[in-house]
Amino acid sequence: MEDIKKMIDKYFAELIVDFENDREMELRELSNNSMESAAIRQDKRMVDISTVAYALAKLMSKPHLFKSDQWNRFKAHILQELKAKKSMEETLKRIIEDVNSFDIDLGNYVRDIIEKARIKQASRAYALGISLKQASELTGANFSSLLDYVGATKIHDRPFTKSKSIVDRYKATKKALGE
Amino acid sequence: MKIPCDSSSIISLADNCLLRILEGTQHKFVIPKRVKMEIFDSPFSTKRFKLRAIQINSFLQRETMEVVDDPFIHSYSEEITDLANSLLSYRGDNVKIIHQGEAEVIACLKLLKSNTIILDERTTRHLIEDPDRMRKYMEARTGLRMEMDEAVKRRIVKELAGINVIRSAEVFAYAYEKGLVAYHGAKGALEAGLYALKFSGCSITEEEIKDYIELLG
Repeated sequence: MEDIKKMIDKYFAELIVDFENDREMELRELSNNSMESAAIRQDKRMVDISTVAYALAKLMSKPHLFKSDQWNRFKAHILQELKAKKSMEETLKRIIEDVNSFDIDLGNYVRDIIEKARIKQASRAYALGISLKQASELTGANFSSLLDYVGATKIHDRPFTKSKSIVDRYKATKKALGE
Repeated sequence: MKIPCDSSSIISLADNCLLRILEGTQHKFVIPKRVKMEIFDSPFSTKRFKLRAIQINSFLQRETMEVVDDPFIHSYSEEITDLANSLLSYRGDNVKIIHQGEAEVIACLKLLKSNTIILDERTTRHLIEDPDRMRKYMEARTGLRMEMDEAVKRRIVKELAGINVIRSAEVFAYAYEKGLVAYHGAKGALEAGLYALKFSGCSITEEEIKDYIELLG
């Protein structure tokens, strides 16, 4: 438990520094690391850190947002939230709402950035070995969207995915469904 | 025979307008109430998946598919979920591998005294067929050394022994061979159908698709 608390504090501190210094790649890396820890430890705070880090990095990667007049105001507001001495869980929830509003106001897509972040991180959790529904539950990603996303990746071609030969599996299928 | 189905397989088949091939098999397909929530109730409330939910619901009205709700499904799935989620641990903490929703399909199979389930999802398939593979997979992906509770593994193996897992890909391959697919005989149809299911989330590898083409193509 002590270990998890320390790890979460470390990730949260990295989130502030990386966002303050416009480090997009580091935010993405933080998002991945935090999600990997969350998948093993099933910790929703780590999931939220991962979601926020991914969403902020994604916003930074869009020139029409990052170079807009509103960006500096948005950044200052998020930093103020991150540095406020309030509960981490509440802070992350508020930032998720703020990111959503900012993206909806200025973005071009119907599917919002937070939903994309959740799907991306759920797919990462699934890629690590936890089940699809558990990954969807852990991250709050929509199950149908997750299935759709996973199908477009190479996750199912990774080693150890195949657990039986096709000859055996098909023989059993014919036996079950009828020769 | 009554065959329980997971939402992952129904969604993959529905995405490719292949639900009707289930009818051709002459079997009855059964889903727990929670699966119905996942394939109809929940997507029906979204703009993105509402049409598919409507298509699935119209299929649910036919006699091929039946929704079951029984207290046994809840109690047995809870037992299986608890067992599965105490199988692997990392530094003393259990790793939650599966969700009760996945275990409900297994519970449904036990309730119906069936021996076959249709399931596209990888982790639950590994749990049923080869729990050691699940550990190997997770260790390879995370780079972490997982502890496996051997006593729990023995209980899982005993509990899930003899369950035959079929994916949507197997259902399609079977339907193709039996001529139940509308475009049977069209050049490349087998490969196209298997890839379409893979892209819809079915956990089949490219190598397995090639094996199917060699076997049936």
